[in-house]
Amino acid sequence: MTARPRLDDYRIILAYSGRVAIGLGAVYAVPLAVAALEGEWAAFVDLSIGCSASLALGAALASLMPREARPGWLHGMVATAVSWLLEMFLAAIPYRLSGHYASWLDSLFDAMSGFTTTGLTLVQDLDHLSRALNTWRHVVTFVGGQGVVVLALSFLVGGSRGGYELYVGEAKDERLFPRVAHTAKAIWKISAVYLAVGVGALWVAGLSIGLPAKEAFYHGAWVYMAAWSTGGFAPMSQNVGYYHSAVYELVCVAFFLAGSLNFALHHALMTGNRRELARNAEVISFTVTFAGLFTLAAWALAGSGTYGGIATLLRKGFYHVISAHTTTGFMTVAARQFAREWTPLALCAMILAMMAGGSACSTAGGVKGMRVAMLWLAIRNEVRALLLPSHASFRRRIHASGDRDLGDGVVKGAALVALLYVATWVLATMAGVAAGYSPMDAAFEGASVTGNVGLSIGVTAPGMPAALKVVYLLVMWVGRLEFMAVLALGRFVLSAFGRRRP
Amino acid sequence: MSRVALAPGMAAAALLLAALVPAPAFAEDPPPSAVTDLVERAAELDGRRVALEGEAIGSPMIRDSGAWVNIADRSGALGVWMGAETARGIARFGSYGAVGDTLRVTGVFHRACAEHGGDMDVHADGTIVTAPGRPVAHPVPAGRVVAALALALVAAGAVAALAAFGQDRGPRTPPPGYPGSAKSS
Repeated sequence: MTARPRLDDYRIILAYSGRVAIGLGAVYAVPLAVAALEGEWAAFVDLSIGCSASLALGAALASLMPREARPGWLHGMVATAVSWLLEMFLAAIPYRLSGHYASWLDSLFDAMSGFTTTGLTLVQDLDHLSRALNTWRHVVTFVGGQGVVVLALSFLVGGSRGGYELYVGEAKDERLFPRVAHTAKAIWKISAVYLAVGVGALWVAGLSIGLPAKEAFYHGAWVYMAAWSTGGFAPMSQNVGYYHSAVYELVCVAFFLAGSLNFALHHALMTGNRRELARNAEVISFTVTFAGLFTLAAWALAGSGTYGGIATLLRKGFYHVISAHTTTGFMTVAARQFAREWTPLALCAMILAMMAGGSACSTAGGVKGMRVAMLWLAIRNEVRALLLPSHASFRRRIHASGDRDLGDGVVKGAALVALLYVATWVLATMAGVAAGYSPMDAAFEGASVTGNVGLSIGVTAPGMPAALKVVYLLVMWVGRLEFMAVLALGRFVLSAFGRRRP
Repeated sequence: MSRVALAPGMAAAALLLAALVPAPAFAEDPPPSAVTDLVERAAELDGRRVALEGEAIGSPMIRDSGAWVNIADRSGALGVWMGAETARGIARFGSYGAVGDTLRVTGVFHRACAEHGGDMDVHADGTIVTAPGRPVAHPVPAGRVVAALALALVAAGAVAALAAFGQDRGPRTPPPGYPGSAKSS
């Protein structure tokens, strides 16, 4: 049995969570500035309460750090899981105060949906939301995409030990530099470059489709943050369908596709290693699975006759399959159109795309292209080993920003996470069926929640059962952290009730 | 072609006009459908004339050959393709600071419009304002302002205290014997 934690263990975990909360308090400056600029004083007061609560609680918790303490793996993992829950509560404050959410549960749901870059929403009357609160929703998604812990690592925790454990706990394990604080800062630099380019591109696209200049800028900034983070939130209730523009959709695709790529790949490309794009196992894996699933969906949709012309079929099919596969969740159809207009086979292709997901160490969710590639190569290697003479040997490697050994331990780890994803999806689906939804609707929404996607078939709505909201909220959290940090928290809680160490 | 084109500020007059001088063709118009109904019965209603009543939201998007105006009712929102002049005539669009004009639109419903990339839409041939929009004030509750100020003071004090006394209290050594700490792992 695991030894019972000491007081210092609790203090370390809470202190790190406190530092992450201070980081969130600092991030509140962005929507506060928008509120002041736009004269939205009611929203300003609501946001300032959230900001002050984050800073006050964060500072109080951060002061608990023991003088002679250093965190280990378990502290880092547990602190990450706790941080995400704490951030959810602190980010939900202005949501609840705004009057656009029916309950605290709905506010918490949206905060978790934002941080996990899922994009499912329970907001009411979205079309009349203040610019400041819309900014906050999208900033939450943007921060969540890079990782709330990465934010704290970049600016608050950097010099101390335990940073790597926190970083890995947030399901990011690529080191662009030897020091994890430098890696975290590099992730933010990459995102900042894309932020400038993305907001500019979407601003121009917005102007070209007839939006007024100021609206085009705000929409550009919001949609960029949601796209890059593969988040799926949008400022209007029709999501990207509001814009009625192929150009706008294409610009979105460019940025959410970029956001779904591994930060290590971005780093390689930005430092001149362009060959990596063609060799990278995750890119190859994504290309193959996307091509297969898009073909399947297009074939199924063509058979249904929903989209008469090839151009409309390709536009709707391509946009939604790539939105699903990158786990973005942008939509240009109404949620119920999936249920009413798309065939079961097309929906199955969408479910598989949502579960496969984007790249590891990116803003995307899902099983991840790296694990799909690892499992495919492992199967191929096993078949190859069967066909070769027993004494023959060959190299088992995978290329992703460098060659890596594909040993049994690595394959086992990938298979375990993939299995846990499938098990979580089954659980989410069963919860949906138990709540009275059809198996297909429940399976679709379950995949969307598990893969942190955000596409909806109409299940997620303010009127859905509260118990299902809680299940989806927890599944989003578990899926985003890829189980490890949450399992560590579970072990920690169990050990707290175990025998005290002698 | 749009039946009625409104000049800015003329919404109330149009409302009165619509009430007093009903257009003969309106007698043949179908009753307004909710957006949800259109989505749920899309296959059945595809290519048929429908009526839709709801609030103009966001902004009009004027394109070369027409304009998009998105209309929301209590059940959802849908894009309406109409003449640019008609769109320009809508005085107020729904946003944080306003309830938009309520429009009654008649036109042809498309389940997946071939002209517009497969979007579900209505091509309007008649648009009237049935209720003018209005600005919306968002007063700040005094009690909430007091709470925000008090909390801001607490936060400032906590952060200042951490900066003064807590900066050098970064972790140094692991707690002895705990799993994952340097000593036990």
